[in-house]
Amino acid sequence: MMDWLRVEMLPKGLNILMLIKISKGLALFFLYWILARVIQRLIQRPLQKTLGDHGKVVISKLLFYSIVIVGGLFSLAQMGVNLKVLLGAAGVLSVGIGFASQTSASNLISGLFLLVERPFSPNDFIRVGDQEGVVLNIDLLSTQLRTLDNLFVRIPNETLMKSAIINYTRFPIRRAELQINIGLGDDISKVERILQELVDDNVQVLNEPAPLFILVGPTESALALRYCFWVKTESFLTVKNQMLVSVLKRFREENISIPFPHRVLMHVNQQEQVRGS
Amino acid sequence: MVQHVSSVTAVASVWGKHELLEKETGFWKIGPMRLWVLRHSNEWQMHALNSRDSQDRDIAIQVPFNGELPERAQQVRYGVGQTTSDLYFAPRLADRSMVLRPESPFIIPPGERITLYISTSLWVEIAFSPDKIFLTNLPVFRTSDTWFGPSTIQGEFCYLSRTSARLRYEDLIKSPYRAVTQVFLHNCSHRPLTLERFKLPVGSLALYRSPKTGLFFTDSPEIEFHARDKGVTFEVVGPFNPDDDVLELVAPAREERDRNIVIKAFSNLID
Repeated sequence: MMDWLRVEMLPKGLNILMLIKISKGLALFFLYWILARVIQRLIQRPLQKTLGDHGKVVISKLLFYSIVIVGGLFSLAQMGVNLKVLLGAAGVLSVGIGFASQTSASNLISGLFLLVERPFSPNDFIRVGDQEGVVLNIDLLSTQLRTLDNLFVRIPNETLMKSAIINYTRFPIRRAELQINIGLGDDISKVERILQELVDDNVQVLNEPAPLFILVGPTESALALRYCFWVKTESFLTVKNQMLVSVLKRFREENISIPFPHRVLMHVNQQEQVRGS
Repeated sequence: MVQHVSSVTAVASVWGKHELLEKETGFWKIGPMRLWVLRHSNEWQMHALNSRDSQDRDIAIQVPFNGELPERAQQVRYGVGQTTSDLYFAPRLADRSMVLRPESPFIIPPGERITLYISTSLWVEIAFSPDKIFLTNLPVFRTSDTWFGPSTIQGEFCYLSRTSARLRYEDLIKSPYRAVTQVFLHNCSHRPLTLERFKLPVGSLALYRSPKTGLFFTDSPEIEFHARDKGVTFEVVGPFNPDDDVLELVAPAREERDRNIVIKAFSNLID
């Protein structure tokens, strides 16, 4: 029987039994792969409800790879591979792998911490260091952004963990600020009244929280003001631009000056100076 | 021909069915709102313009309208398979809660119960036949957006309405495009209650119309303020009916489920 199974066409040492074992192992691995995919899809919705988008992505991927790795080990066992030898070798290699993968491990652990904290979600607009953009995806090891120039940015999760993250779209309302300089001789109360009227005329500027008028003080050539008002986060840029245009237009109509930097030169006659001394 | 409608009872002609022939334009002025609707065979075009004059009470209807459409008007187009001649205008309450701001702070001493009369601007719901398919909802007077909540992180978007907070219905200026709400406020706590801003949950109120006067009324909210740790009780009672008329229900409350609620957070309705 064994002679019958030992086909001369096959490479030496390889026989039909071995082929069957390998096929079984591969089939088992394929089944585990399918199982991992099915479980990953089934848990998407409950994870989304409990952990949000970030958590859903991280946990579902962790679960998927865990099942695939376990499936891989069972498949190897099915194929006749001695797992003790494999694990022994892995133990020896783990020291080297540990050193080599410490960055990846750090990114992975950072990803888990970010999962708990949830400083942002996909589609949020964030700033990390000098990078800002819309969050496309939150992965095990990194987070991907799309910048306003439509560039792709990959930020390792470890970097996110160590950096201050500004999430521009976390809260439904946001304060806009106009920095305005007026002439030193202009009527401040008139300017304040005009700004209040402009804000009252724009229905998209929130009545509460109330706008804030701040007189910063005189500069070299002008009087510096700050005018802060609140808008819906989603219409922040549009309304801020509208207000700025309205302010400039109304200032021109009301003869409120917007001075440019200038110097006043005073010429003193030398003879008058001598007579004076 | 422009039909100016100045008496309150005649305003009924604004609401309900209007007919427009193909390629015809209709014009409606309801107080501060001006609306032009142009009908094509497979398209409705709407041009709307709102003034900031909340005191404008003039009503005018011109069908057909032969003048020029204003350039500044906001234009929206609706594509349909085939338009028919019927257009429906229905009055509705605002799609968000209203934050009412008395013109000066208002104090209710402990144990006192008062009744306020407040009017809020209506919205016009426009639909076309045969199945009254909804097209759009437009405010007669677009008030400012505002935020109401304990902080800038927690709260909701509302519309702002400045009110004189009348204590007598007769002192309220009646308007054919505003709904009158009678609000019962009872300060059950031991401290004076200062009302600087007050949220009217419009979604919990049904809208009614008096056939006799043509005026609009809503359900009446009854609010009791208890000590801070006991919160606020909010209940909706039947509509205000000053003329003892048989009121017609125009629109039911949008949020039926929480009409009787105890609100733990004191700042949920009052600021």
